[in-house]
Amino acid sequence: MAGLSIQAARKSFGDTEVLKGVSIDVADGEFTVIVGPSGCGKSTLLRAVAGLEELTGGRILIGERDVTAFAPSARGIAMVFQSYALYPHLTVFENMAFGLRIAKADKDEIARQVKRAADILNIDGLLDRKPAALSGGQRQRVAIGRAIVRQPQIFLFDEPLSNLDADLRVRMRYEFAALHRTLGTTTLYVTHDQVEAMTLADRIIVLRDGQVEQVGTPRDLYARPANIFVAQFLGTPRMNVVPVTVSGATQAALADGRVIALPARAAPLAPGTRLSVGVRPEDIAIGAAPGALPHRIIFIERLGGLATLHLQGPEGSEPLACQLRDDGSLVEGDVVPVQLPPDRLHIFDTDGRALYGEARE
Amino acid sequence: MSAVGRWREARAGWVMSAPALAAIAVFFAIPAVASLFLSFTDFDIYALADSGNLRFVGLQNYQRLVENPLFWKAMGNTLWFVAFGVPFIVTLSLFAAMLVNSRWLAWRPVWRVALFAPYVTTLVATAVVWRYLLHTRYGLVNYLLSLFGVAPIDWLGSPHASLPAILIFVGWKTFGYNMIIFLAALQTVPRELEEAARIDGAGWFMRLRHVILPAIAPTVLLVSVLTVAGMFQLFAEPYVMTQGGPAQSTVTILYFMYEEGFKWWNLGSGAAVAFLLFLCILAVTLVQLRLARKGGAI
Repeated sequence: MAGLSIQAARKSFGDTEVLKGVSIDVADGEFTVIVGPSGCGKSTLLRAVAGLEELTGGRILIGERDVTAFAPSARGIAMVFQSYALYPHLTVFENMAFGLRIAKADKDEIARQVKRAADILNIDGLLDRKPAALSGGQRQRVAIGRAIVRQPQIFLFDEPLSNLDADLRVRMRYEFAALHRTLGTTTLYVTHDQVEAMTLADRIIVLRDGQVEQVGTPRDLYARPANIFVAQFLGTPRMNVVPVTVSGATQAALADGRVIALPARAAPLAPGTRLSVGVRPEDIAIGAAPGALPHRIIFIERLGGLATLHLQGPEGSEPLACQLRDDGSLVEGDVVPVQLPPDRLHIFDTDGRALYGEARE
Repeated sequence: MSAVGRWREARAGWVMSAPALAAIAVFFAIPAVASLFLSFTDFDIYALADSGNLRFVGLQNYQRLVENPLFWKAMGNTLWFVAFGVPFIVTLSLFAAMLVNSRWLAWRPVWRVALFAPYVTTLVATAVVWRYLLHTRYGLVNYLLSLFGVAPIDWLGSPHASLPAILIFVGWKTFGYNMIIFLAALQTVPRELEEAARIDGAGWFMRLRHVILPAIAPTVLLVSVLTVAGMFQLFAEPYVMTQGGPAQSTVTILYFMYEEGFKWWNLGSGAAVAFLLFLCILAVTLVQLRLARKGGAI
């Protein structure tokens, strides 16, 4: 096994620059998820690591080896594709054995490796079947099995769960985590689904427009997003962000003129400074308190245990989303007091960068 | 549904399929049955003038064919075209399609048009050009071969070289059509499959063998069946290039049928040739289908 280092990777397709100097380090044995909206370059980056795309600039190191110019099969990687990409005319066994057969491995060795992978994935009963006779989840396992058989230094996953239904996706997510615990192989996993990123990753890399927005543990990114993009990309419903103007040492005025308290750590801020204040829907509290702002409930999404309230303040104010335990007592049309707890607020400057009252990169 | 309702529905079905059925009957079924019938008669130019001269002769036409050495010569030539021409043309078309489908090729649309162009050019005009290209002393083909030290070949004048010469011309003329069919099929091969094979370390040939060919197998079958039928019915190329010569070395079954029917006006005998040709094509196509089914292509 080995770590992965991507150094100033650039990739252009014609005039379009898809990767604009991406640098990433993945430690040995780490499960790293690259997440971002579609078109952010995450799949291109993964394909560049696999050797399926040639970089326009930059280097890729696996372990100590510079593999930038290596053929895909020589890089010590295995990739699981979104469409699984199983060879349709070969059986499950032959699919998993394909790479070793090409490498002219010993027959017994091939059988042993395939057996081992099949045991790990519980697919030993399927080895004689063709892919067409398998369900989506089974195909997924075979594709992973084929990757395991290669005994790669790095696993690459390209949106592996997006072709599965919701139920299966949750189960496979759990299995991915278990698999990584069993094998301990360095993993780079690409997804557009922030839930997958949050649940699977040791570390998340948020990519936008071919640039790294933030790198960190899921907890870290959720609690201290570096900018509005990351703040709103992670978490559902997404973080409320409203524009404010600083009106005192620790207070600011909303667009509708009402005043809220800012966290003490944001100080000192000059009055008149324009900022954005972010608050996660689950951090908003409903209930009478000093400084609470009346909002009308315009819509309630009831999810069973939880409910999302869509709130509207007076004319000129921004709508807010609020998530709380649903006891059924609130109804649409009610006017409720809304609290924005100062210590739960995120402060962003006009460029969208987070201000945490301390030096940050 | 009531009996009347069912009858009405059936009638509507027949009425709606009638135009297509009529076209099939007029242009295929009736001529086919009629020519089978004619093959049992001595239908000739006199019978054409007065159908009273038509006599039923049983299997006499077939018997005379079987005893005619030229018929067997023509059959042999045709089978030569099937045996060598089908693999040659199918392979050529497939490689041409892979070439114009590859991502690294610049000016792909231009290449596609250029390679497809022979198929839509006039046969007679291109035959004239090819007669020059294949000329023993001044032809480009012999010139190119001479660069590799090959002595001049009398392509259209030697009974040994005439069949390959015709086949080269036929291949050049028809591969563009098959290429387009293959190109359409190649574009449906999932890119991820090829990429998975590259990661597995498969070289070009292994990817062809394990990814591309299985994925386009039904198209390979289609093109082979079409090419087999085309080779069995080869006529125009030998007709314009060599008129069956030299020494009848390029007489094909269809050329033989044409001479029987329209040169000597033995239309009954020509019909018998046509029917035998039909049986040949049917037999070979059935074998192809069986092989394809066994190989899982369909």
